[in-house]
Amino acid sequence: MYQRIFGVFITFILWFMFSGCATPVVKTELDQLYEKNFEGFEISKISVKNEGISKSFPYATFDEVWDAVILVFMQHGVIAYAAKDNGVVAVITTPPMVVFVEKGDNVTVYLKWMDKLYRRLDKPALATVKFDSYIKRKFADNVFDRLSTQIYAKGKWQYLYIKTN
Amino acid sequence: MNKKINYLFIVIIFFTAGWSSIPKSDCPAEIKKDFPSTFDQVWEAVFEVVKNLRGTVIAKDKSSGLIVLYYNVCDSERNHELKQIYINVYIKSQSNANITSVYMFPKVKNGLYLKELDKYFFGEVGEILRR
Repeated sequence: MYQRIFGVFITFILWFMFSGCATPVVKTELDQLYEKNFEGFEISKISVKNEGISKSFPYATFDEVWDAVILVFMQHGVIAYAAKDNGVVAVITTPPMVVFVEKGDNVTVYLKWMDKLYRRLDKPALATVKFDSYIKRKFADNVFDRLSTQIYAKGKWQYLYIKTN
Repeated sequence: MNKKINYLFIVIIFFTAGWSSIPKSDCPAEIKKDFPSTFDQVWEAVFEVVKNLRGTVIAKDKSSGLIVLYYNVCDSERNHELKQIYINVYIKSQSNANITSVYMFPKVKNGLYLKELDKYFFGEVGEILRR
């Protein structure tokens, strides 16, 4: 009798241990992109303009804004795509974002979050990470603040520089 | 009595001065080095460094001066675990002289790569340019 109970107990312990070890790995669209080294990763600038949050930068040229976008965004994450001709940059950060810089009397920067990249490959209706609109707006304000500093002050405070000899 | 109050004020000033330290930023420092070469020479040199590292270029745009590369490194501190390092490189020619600035930001999948890669990377670029 005791042997039987002991056997059931051991079986349960073993099942508990091994089921814990074999945690299924949930892969997202973002993981897939990393695996492919972002090959074939494309962005439509029209969707960025239509769905993104925007800010205009008066008294600045397109080149000044573009240089600032590259410099600021490369500090945020891995730049997966950049094309000056199209005015589009994609940055893989948290959450990933895409930017469209539009030429004009006032250069305008459109920013769109690509949080859809957190969709699970096995269950696309589910995402591993979700950001609410308040958080996204806060992130966007932060990005635009940094861009303004870079464009108009032409850099950051000196203590944020490291010079390598 | 007045003297004691004055001393107290001096002590308070010293304490508050100690608290007002340099502000911190969550934005990483800019890692930059200037090279006495043309934009094209530096652009080619960076590609040669990628080749030496057996790396892969994942994004490039010459008109922006941007090269993004990745390569694998064996982490000796973590059981020789293979780590993918991504480096954003931004090349900008200075208008006043024959000087080109190179900025670099190393990253891993989950954030910043904190080990010092800049000395190695800039050293390699400099060596290629001196040839």
